[in-house]
Amino acid sequence: MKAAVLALLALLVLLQGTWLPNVRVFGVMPDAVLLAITSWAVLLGGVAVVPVAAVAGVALDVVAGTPLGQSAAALLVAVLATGWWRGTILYRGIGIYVVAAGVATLAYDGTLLVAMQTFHQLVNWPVALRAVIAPSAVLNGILAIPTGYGCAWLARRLGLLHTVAAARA
Amino acid sequence: MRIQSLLRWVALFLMGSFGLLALDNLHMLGRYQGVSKVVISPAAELASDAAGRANGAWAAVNSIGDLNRTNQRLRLENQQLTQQNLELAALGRENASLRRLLDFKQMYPTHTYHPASIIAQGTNNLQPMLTLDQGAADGVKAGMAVVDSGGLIGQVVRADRHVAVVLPIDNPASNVAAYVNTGTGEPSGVVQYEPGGGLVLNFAQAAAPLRVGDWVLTSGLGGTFPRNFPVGRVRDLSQRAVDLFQIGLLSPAADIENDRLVLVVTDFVPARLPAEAP
Repeated sequence: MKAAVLALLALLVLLQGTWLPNVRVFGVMPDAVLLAITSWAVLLGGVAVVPVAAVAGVALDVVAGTPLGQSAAALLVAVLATGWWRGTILYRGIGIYVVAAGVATLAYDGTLLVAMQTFHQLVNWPVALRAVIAPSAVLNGILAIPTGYGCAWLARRLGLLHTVAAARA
Repeated sequence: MRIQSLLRWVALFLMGSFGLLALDNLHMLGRYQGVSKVVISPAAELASDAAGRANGAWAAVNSIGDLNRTNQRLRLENQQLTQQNLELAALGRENASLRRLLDFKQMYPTHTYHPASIIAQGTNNLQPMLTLDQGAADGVKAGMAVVDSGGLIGQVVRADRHVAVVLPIDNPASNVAAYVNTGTGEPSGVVQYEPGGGLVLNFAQAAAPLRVGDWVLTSGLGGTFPRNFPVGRVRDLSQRAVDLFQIGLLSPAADIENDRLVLVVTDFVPARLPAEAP
């Protein structure tokens, strides 16, 4: 069960670093790993996905050559930002994945920008928000629908939803 | 009784046939033959047509097996040709890319280069990174500049045994000391990258005569990059009256997003400035 999830994540990380940079829509590439982890967070809860997000973040940094831990931190913030309001609004229906992806993108890219600014890199927030983060949130929001349903199907197949429900009970 | 009757009929037909044959030889049936042809020929034509169709249908039925085999062979050939076409197109693109790299090497012959392919890129939209398929085992070291056929791509920041990680100039962490080739002087500045905004030339003197279209080249100041590699061209300039510096927006000289083949400048390793020396 866990092996299947990890294998899927490994595949997504490789795709994120090799193929997806060539797939540009609205000038940005889709964040496949972020979308998958956000969908898992919606389905299973933010806290349950934290270990997966940490592992995926480190893997992303290894593949890209970015400072180790940076993507993990951004993914954790995104997962927690997605998880805290889960169950309060829009819990059911297609909108949950779209809203979650938008919020997660803002949190993920926002965290990266804060990290970049901390290291004295050139960051123009209004421009970055308009030209990178907003298109990215829209693209991820669109792609969140198939990703969310795919993850829900996989979670049902792997019996993860029952496990989480039992743990909560 | 039956046999006798049969023999009688056979004898009658034989006699009739011989009689007709004799009459025909005496040319006494010509008129009747013409009449019979007029009567019979439409039916004969119809019969012939039907027979032809039946033959065609039979031949078609017989040839279905052949057609299937031919179809399969042609499909296979078509697949092979399509594959070859794609391979040729890819080779053509690679060839064009290599030619451009060769042109670049000829334009800058004072350096030595090592070819490499980009095998991975950044994993988020804000911090592009590149990974090359050549590493320390191939002579690639941290600090070496990486170029493509258009100009500067970035700098190797980590060289593992078989791969190297490159900080491209379109990463906000990149700083490239550069000068602007104005024709009359060489005002200098620093090329940085602004997420969403593109390449920016910062810290160019306010009075410097910059123009849109000017080439921006590496200055070599700080010893980080070799001098005179193209970085980009000025596409827009901005300066307020109170500013000490001009800001130039640049179009990158290198095709960072699309080029997969690059050159590592192997004869240049950044100088260690006195402050950094042990």
